[in-house]
Amino acid sequence: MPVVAISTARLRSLLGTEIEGKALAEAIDFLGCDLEELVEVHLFECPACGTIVYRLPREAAPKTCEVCGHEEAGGFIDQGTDEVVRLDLLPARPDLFDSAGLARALVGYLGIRTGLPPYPVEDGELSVTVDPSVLAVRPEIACAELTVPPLDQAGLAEAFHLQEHLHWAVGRGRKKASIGAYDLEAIEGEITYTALAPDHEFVPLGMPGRMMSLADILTKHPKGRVFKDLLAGYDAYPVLQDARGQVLSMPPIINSEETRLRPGTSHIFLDVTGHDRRVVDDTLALVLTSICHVTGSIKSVKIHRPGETRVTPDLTPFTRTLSPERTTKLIGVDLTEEEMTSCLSRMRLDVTGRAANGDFEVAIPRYRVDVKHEVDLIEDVAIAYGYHNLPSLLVPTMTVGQELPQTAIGRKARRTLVGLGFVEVMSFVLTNREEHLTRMRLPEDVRQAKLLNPISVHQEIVRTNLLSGLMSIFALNKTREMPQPIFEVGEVVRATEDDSTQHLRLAIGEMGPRSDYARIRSVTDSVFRELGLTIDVSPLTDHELAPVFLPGRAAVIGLNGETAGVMGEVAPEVITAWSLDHPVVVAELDADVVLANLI
Amino acid sequence: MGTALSPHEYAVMNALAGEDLETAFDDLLQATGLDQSLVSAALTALAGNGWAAVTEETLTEVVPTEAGKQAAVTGTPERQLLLVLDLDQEIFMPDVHKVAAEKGFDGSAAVQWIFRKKWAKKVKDENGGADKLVLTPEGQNALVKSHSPDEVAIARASRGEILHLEELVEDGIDVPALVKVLRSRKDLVKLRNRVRRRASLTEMGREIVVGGITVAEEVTALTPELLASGRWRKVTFKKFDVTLDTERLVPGRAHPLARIVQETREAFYSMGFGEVRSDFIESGFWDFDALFQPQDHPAREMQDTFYLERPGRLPLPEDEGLVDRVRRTHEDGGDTGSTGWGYRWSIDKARQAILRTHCTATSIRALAEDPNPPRKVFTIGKVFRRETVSYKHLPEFMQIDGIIIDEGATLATLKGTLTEYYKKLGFDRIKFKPSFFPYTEPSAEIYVWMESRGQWVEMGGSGIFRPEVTEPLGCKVPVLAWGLGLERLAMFRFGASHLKELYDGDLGWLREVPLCR
Repeated sequence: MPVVAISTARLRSLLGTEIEGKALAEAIDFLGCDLEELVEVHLFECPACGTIVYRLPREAAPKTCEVCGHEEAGGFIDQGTDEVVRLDLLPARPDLFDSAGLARALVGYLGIRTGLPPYPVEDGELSVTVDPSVLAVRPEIACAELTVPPLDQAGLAEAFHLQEHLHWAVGRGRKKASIGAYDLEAIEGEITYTALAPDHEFVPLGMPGRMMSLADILTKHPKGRVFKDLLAGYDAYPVLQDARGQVLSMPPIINSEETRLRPGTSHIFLDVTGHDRRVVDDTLALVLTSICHVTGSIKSVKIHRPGETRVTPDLTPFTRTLSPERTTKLIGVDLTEEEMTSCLSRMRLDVTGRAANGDFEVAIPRYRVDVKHEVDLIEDVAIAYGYHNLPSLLVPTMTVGQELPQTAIGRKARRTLVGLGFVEVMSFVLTNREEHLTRMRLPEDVRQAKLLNPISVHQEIVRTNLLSGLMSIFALNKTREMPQPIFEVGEVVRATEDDSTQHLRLAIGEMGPRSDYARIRSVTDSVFRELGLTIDVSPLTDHELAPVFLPGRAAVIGLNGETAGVMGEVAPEVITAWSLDHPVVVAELDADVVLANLI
Repeated sequence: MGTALSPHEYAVMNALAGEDLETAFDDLLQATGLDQSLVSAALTALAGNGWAAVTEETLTEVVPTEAGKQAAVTGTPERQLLLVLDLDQEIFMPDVHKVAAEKGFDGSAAVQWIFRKKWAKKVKDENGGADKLVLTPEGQNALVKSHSPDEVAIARASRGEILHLEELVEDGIDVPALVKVLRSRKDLVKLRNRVRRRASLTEMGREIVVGGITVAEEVTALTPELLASGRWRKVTFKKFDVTLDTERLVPGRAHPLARIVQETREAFYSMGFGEVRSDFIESGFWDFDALFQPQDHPAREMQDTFYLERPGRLPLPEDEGLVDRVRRTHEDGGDTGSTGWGYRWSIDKARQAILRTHCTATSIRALAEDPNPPRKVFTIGKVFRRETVSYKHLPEFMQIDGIIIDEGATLATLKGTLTEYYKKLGFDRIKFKPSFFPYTEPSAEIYVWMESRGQWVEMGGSGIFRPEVTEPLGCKVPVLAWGLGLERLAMFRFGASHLKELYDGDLGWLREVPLCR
């Protein structure tokens, strides 16, 4: 998950209060953010665009700007230190991705400014016409016009990061929503959202003076190469352009150089495009309420669609009901209605009235896109109350603890084997063909489950028995003191094309100069004897694991006519395939069969 | 029957029994033919039994030097000077050294001792000539009568016998005064202190001898034969050096992680939880969809989750109504009062086979099977994340997942249940803080204070299942749920340096790590 660093000084200025870094970090933690650390960082400035980036004390100075792509071999300009809180971003709370969003929540939580934050939207003059050609490619668009104090480098960088993080969390890699922001002064007249042929040209962001065709942008521009899959299969690509034909952007890939935001820009046009209107509108609301949280004014834009005209953005709070009884019941603390109202207010929610059944009617700011259900509001009450203030209670209802038979058999076998001096090992269930099959002389297909997307060649299949795991332990310990009596209780899997079954197995093994059939037979016998079971032992001939063993020195363990496992001396071919130089004996028991015979 | 003694004790007892009085140690050595240390040890043992008494006496042995042996023949320097005076009656002091050199004795010693013994005196010449040495009456007496005690001692010691000064008491010599004199005649004799031991049988010892004594043999091992025959009563057992190290033993032992797993099980059994299990090859339906995790959620991407080629897909639950309720909840909230996620739910994605990403898949299966309160179940099993093996990350690890289905289930009882669990495992300080998960609301993360690291360590997530999760399964009461890691607990408890060490299978570590702490 992406991590953001937010300056505590910036938060203090947004909160308008002097609060120590530690107290601030604690409030952020109690608010539910995934706080990594409160730390002093080094600030560096990109010599080309002036973007400030930070580095942890343990990190080297940056050499490439993440905003403008500028490379500086000598490193960036050192701008001193700053205290920051580092947060792992939570996709569920995109309203807490930047300093403005965080301050908005903190100011309420700390009781400085509570209740619904206002986001007035004035009627604007701008309109966007949606051409039918774009409907098949990327049909939805929402826009807004805003005026903010002239942007500085810090503001630009923060807007850039917020945009990237929203693309990740809400836009799902720009697929569901992608955001564009432009200098409105560079735009003239009516804006059109349309789809144009691949040979249409404009100067993309980051390539000043270089006209590129839409097709070239997809194959040559760095952003084009990353996001080209989103437009694969179309013969025309989405474009926003003004009355002169000046391209604003090619959603969801890249904006134009001409309309880019610059230091000093204060009049901004915003658009969000995508496939799903709800996601597009949510994203626009998130951007606007963050950028304009402190200062700035928002104007609406008319969107003329084929057969429909709508006005965006709609930042009206939405309403949900909240039952005080259910709130108390779910949190487990008796709260008065006043306390609940105050908690909601500190989470920047307003109780606007009461429903006929007594439930609160709660107004929720538009940016709280995570609120889907009453329980989301109950959680807000709990957070405002403070999880650290909750009592630690137990459910008063009596229930009876119960061990699973599989667990019991594992526990009993473990007790016997530990008593016999065996050391328990645990290995991974993921393994590979070389170790699990080839070295064990097993055929290529023993119905093993196979990964579709393995991350390493060492872990490509799921084990079908525990024996190769024991061998790998012996291989790892070949220089350790002999003998090495070990065992493992573990699960193995058998798969078909459209189903799989999992089985509990017990594997016993010993490597040592005197490890022979008699030894493994004695140990296996005692495991069964302790379980009160009598086994029939017959020579191993026709069994899937037969190739592992030395012929004539291995046996099948029978329980009332069922095969409950195998035991014997490991074939020298297998021992040497593992580069071992001592005799090895093993047994593998099928816990399911043992269990069936116990009952 | 008599008394059985070790061979050495037997020999010493026998030797002592032959004497009525005390026996000198040296005589015992001769009588027994044993060396000094063995006789000493036997005497100590016998005295410990009260059978023998040992007395000790300190004697002063006189050992003549070469000059002493010479003096024994020629006389001490002062005696030689006395003989010169016997002839001349007097001698000028300056001439003493000349004479001494002629006769070959030590002039200085001669003058010193002749004055000390008062055999001569110095007389000043009235005419201013040199001082004279003049014989005294004591000197005359010494010439006629006898030798002084020191001369006697030197002479006898030089005869080749061992002379203890204390023996001279018999000759009427004042021994302490003599010791003082000889101490200042180091050129002639040296004095050495000797302890002389004497041993004798006590009354009890004599009775033992009268009762009969026999030799018992000494053995190294107590054998079944010794026990059966009763011969152990007669033998003596060789004493061992109990301080020496012995062979290092390795007990059979459970795996450290298995131990934490078992303690966790017992903690939950004791709180009234039943155990459940399900396969770790799981369908997207149970791992994600039933938990209201949207099908385009980042956690479902191929980058983070292991998908399977075989089996490529798994059967969905037979209850088609259930599948449909889950679909509708995702799309528009269905009957749950939720807005849902607002997208087209795909049944093919729900069928995809994966390696489960959490054991909540097992919890949710258990909930679907029986959603009726009150119910408490837990599961411990393997879960998978698409990571390579490293010191910090493992592609597969263990999780303890549990649910409480209960009318009285609250956020406060969730906090209490988890606090209780960690207490049972010996971790007293926990932090319960808000968080966000797609399938619980409210949600909380649990941190445990690790004293050894001086920091809070995240253990996992918990919460109350969203109605979007419980209602499609037919559950109408709150369900508490959690999924917590176990490896880190094992790591901190048993001092593993990193996660991977738990699965390395290094018998060096597995055999040595103290498990009972």
